[in-house]
Amino acid sequence: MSVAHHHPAVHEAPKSFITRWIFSKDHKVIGIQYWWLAFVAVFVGMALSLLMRLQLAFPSHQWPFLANIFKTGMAGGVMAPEFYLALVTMHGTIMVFFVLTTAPQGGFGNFALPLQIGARDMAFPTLNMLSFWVTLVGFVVLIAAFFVEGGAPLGGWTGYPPLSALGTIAGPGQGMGMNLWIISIAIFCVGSLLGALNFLATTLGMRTHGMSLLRMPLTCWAWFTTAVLALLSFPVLFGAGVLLLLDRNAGTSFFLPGGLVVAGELIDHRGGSPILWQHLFWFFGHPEVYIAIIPGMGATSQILATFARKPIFGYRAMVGAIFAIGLLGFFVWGHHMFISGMSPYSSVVFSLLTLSIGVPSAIKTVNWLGTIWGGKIRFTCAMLFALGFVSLFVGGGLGGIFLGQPSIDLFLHDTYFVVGHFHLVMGVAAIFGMFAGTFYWFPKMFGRMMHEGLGKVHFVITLLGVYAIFMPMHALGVMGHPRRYYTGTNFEYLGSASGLHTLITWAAFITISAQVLFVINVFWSMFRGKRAAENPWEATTLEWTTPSPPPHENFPEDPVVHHGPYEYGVPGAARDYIMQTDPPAAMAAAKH
Amino acid sequence: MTATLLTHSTGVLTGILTTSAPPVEAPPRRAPIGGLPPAPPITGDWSRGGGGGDGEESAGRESARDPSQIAITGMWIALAPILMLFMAFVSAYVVRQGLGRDWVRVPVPGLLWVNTLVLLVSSLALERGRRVDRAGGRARPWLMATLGLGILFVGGQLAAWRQLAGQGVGLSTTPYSSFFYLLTGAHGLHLAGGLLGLTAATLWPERGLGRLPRSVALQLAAIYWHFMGLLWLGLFLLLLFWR
Repeated sequence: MSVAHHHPAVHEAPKSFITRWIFSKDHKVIGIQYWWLAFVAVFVGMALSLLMRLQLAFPSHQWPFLANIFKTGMAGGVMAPEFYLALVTMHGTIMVFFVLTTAPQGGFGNFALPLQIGARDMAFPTLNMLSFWVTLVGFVVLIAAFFVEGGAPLGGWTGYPPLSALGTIAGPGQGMGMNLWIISIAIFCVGSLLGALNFLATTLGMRTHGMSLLRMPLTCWAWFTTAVLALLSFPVLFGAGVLLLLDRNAGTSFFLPGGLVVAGELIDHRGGSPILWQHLFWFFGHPEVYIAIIPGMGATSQILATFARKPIFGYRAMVGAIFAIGLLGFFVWGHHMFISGMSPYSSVVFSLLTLSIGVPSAIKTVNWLGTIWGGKIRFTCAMLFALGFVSLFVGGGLGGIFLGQPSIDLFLHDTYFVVGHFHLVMGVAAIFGMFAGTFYWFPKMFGRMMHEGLGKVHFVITLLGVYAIFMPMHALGVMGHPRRYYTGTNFEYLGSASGLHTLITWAAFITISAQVLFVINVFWSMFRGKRAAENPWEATTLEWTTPSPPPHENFPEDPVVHHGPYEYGVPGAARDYIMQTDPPAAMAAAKH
Repeated sequence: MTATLLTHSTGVLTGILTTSAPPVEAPPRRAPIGGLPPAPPITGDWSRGGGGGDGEESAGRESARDPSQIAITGMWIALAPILMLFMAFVSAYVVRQGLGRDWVRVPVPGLLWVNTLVLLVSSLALERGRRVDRAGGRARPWLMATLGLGILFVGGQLAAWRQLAGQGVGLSTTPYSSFFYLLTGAHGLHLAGGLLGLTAATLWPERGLGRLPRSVALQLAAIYWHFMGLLWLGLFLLLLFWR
């Protein structure tokens, strides 16, 4: 308990390199650390997906150079089926946890939340530092699964028992690799919980004078809602992980039924229920989808208003819709389990609740369109990616209306239709939210502007590329192509799928290559980019009243807020916008 | 696993006690405002402004930023995930029990009644200590008593485990016994985190430490400790009657 001794005054920057940049308690540094973690993780995840795409487009083709890298998985240059499953599992786990849950909330949220509400730091800086380092340990443990005996787990990111509860009899990666997977997820849960606690306490207790809840930027509302979801859903995943570990290592039978014969061997367990895992997992899993996407919605709202030079359309409706999406997210987990043998009556209830999420989603979409309608749009890279977010959210979300209906889902469940749907609506859309956030906040984070021209080329290729990858997957799904299959060549009815698979693989190859442009842009801009002014986007929120990058203490004096967050296009104003800290007279003067 | 659970509870405790909020200052100032009268708040126009409206009237809400209040809020928030964890376990318990057939009852060790009483008395002692502290008296004996009773409870739970194990009932013997060890174990680990918090509060100097006065340190420990007591009551009733 010595932590509370000699606590340094918060606005005194730490002197040593270690406390300033490594074990930092500064929310800005921690946010950037989270951002880098996601940056590394997303490239690992993409590399894995590229390997999967190679196998799907060119089944059983020999890739001698890959044999040198993956000695067992690609022995002789041909991919082993187990290795394909390990790729599926690790790709999903890395992307969902260490990219989609890490950058939007931990990255941008940590960086911008205190700045936007006029605070000097998060409520609990030590806890904040801890949550990043715990998350990083989780990532290291997960990656370690590749290197232990038997390799990475095979069970998919959902880790369904009984196969995930059995050990090596269910496959080589199901031994130590699977244990590490569970432990990594449990560690990640702890890190996320510490973070969520901090976000909530900060939003509730650290707002500056005049920053009423309804004057917070929509980004802050998004991070707040996300934190509530994380706080209530991650403990359930943690609990499920504990039960799974006990089943695997302590002989219990929470998830393992009796009379199970695997690989010709009778399993000595009885009475458990694999469906129980599905309930626990998806009680977490569905809110997790919103944990990934809601911060992107917040960033999109912020960016659309800024670059359309118009107030956000329907601020209160937007806040209500975020909450509604978050709340409904807790009551729809059953739609992942329509084919688990659940009562048709339950399916109807889950289906109705699921489809009702379309209402707040439509409110958000229409309000985004209302915001840019008739605006003097500035097509910066941030704006383009935010528009891309809206496009992907709608394009991918429509697939959900099909999948949300039990009768249609019976056919489409576990097909490529699902893969196409969720990649567009929560994967790529959330990534676009991150790109938008990066282009938008980069000047504040690193003090320099990113290169707009390079960014636009990157945007066009990526937008077209992701549609070319994931739209055809819907067609594969309608064809009945199961997901997670190592190859479709053994099935006559999938003969016509190979053309689409080749197309998708080429699209993936081009899209992934285009990400090199982003990497170049980030590194070039960090060192050579144009120096950023205080408020390069002519935005209204508090982070743009600080220097770029902001000093350790953020604000020399507590800012005082007099206006709502999106006063753009104010008639008669000297500039076309009024910042939140402008004196109250500014608005009156503009009106007269 | 136990390590993560422990970090979970103690991390929350230690973190809570170090807030970044500045010390409580004089009442908040507002930037001097001169000249024009404030514009009337704009209402009813959905596309205008961000909800908050403008003008001085609604500049209203001042920042709270009282480190004690933030720490207390944080502690209450921290109880939510713990409750959710146990709700996950309990719903698994209820589902598993409903599957029937192989659900074999195991007699609950009588020692649990004693342990429950010990935990309840420890909560009373803690409240007594807080009252003495508020009145300016010597609270430490009462806090030490709370700590002692807490340690006694953990010891009692371990003894109950030994009793069960002695009867040949282990973690994987029956579904009921699996849940018995799981629930008591998870509760015990969280309670052990509470013991660390209690120790810190007991050692907290009278004049406060960092930005937290002693009374707040005691309040934080009390919120967590009473929650652990209530949680145990719930779990005990479940283990007794939902068999």
